[in-house]
Amino acid sequence: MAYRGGRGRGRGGFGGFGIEYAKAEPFVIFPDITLPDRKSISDDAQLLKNFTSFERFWKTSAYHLGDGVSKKESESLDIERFSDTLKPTKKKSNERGSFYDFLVLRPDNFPKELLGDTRRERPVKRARWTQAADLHKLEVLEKLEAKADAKEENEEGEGDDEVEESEGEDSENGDYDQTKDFDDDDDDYNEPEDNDNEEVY
Amino acid sequence: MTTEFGIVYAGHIITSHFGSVVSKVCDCLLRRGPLSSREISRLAESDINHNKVKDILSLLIQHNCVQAFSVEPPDGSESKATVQYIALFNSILHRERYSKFSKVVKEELGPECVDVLDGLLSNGRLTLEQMIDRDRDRDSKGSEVIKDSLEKLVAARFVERVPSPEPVLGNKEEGPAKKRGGKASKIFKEPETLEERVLEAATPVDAIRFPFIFEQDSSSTLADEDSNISEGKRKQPEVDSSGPSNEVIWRPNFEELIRRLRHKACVEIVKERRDEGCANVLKAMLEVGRSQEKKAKPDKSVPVSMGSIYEELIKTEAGREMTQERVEACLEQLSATSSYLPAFVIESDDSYIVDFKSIISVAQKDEMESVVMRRYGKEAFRMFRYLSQEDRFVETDKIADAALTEKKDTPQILLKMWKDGYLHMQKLAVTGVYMPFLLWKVNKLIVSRQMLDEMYHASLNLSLRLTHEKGSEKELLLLPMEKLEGALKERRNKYRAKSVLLASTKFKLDDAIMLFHDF
Repeated sequence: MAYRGGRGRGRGGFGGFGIEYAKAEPFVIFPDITLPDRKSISDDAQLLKNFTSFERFWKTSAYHLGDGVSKKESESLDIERFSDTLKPTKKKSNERGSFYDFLVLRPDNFPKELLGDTRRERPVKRARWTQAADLHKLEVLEKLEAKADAKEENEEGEGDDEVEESEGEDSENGDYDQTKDFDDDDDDYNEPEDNDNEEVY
Repeated sequence: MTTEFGIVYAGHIITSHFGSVVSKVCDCLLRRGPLSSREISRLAESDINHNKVKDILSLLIQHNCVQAFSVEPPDGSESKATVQYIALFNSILHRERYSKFSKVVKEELGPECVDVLDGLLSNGRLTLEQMIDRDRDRDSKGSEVIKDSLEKLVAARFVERVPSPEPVLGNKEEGPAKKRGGKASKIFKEPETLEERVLEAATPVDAIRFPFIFEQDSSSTLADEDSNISEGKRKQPEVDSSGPSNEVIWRPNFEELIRRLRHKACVEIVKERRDEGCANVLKAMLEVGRSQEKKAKPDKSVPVSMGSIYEELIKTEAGREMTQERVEACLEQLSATSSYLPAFVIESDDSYIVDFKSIISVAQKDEMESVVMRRYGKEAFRMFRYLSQEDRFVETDKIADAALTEKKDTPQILLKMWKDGYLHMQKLAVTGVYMPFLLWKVNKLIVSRQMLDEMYHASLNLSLRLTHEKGSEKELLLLPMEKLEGALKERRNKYRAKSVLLASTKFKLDDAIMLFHDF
């Protein structure tokens, strides 16, 4: 897909023999092309907003299985702090929960072959429809624990500021699509009204 | 039509929404056709264990991207039918249009219904109980509002009951090849695909598919004797009468959602090529006939009477301003064929029929010609237009005459178009002549397919670019916008402008994709 330009780099290696079988071109991921007039594309704010929320939902939902092999690495781009070791380790693997929470496993919905699996725990535990509700609770718990455990540490001051700031922001934003814990999309299309820190898609 | 880049694009959509392991299964199905779960486990890129494959298939079925089915074993055979899974290419592409579906429903039914629909679009399939549960976690509008919204959505057919999970297909080998048209068109006519057959077999009858509607249908001729029964039923909606384990499972009805977009597109096409008055009349005709459209992509609408057009028109403000003469004049205009526009409406015995195929083909022709014009130049465009109108094989010299080009330049231009798949060519050897005659033809199906492939490719590129831009600015995007200043703010704004442009371009391109693929 984006590897079209990569061919040039590959073949350039033969140049060492003295005869250039192919010209080694520098790899440009998106070469310049002539583009049409920008004004010919109209922006529909509503479509853009919906599109962003759908994309964000799927990428952060239990339906996203990733590469299905490794545990997800921490997505936080914050620098590691000593106070992190004092916080209770979040169990990342359970963060999203199983997508089976949302599936109605009945013979009128799925083929028998897929239902035969009795490993699934039933009855299904209450599905989490939004990430915000649970994460807020998780945050509150973490704060309390951090405060209780790390009273003597100096770095606690930093930790608290961080945590207070996040609490402040969260309490302003009640909508489900305004969690701050993910490297999420910002809702740019309501820029003047919103004051969240999310990324635009 | 599944083309090479169509498959790559579909794979990209699945990867971006569900991750790469799900995409491997999906890709396997798209490239190899229907497979059983064990075959997928064996054949997918990097072996995936059987249980994992089953998990992934459940996920894909939940999101309506895959349908299971089995084929009836031949008569007298002892073997049991194995379940196979088929990837639903169309449904996967629909995922990029969910925001358009949302918009259409919002315009028609309002924000509460949209909320319920969005839940279905996000999660694939839900019961009423799940919808109420979900609502509690979000705005908490209350179960009555949710139930009411669901009823409205089902009544409008935007939401349907999930299809049969494992329909059994009869084992006739050949697809029912349609024998209409001349010999040439028979070769390129798309027979009913396996995907279509499976979906048809899985779809329940309307009464089961749209349960509330059937119960509330008091306009049927049996209204008198049934009305008591339906009244009784309405007091006990299906949800209450059966326990939670028998609740209906709902999903979005893409057929109806695409139908709305198709109607909207037709109105726009007529508005551009005729005028607003004609567009309003057409819109009214489509409203009247919509509920009776049975097929997903009918060529023509049902006949509509003048009276019903009028009744529908006066519902809108713009329609009220139209006099009867004006409406009649518009209908005349719409039914007229001119040298540059075919008829959009067919008049028959005081009724009027909308010719969808004609309207859509006009827009498709414009798109094709514009691509040819931009890519190969004015002369090539004239030749292309001439050939499309002739709709048969024509030899090089005749084309040169018709397009007013030099005889010696013509073959090169034609060859260029042929190389990219925009023209069909045949060599005709004539005894006594050294060089064989070259005959050229525009085959609309082939050109459509070629254009669709290019559009999928373009859409894929836009998506990749968007992902790339987002990845480049990952750290910047974590910072709250209002706290940025100076150079960072500039960069942020620039990123925003880029992402808006890329996403908007994707939407516009998707309109063109639908024009060739779904409408």
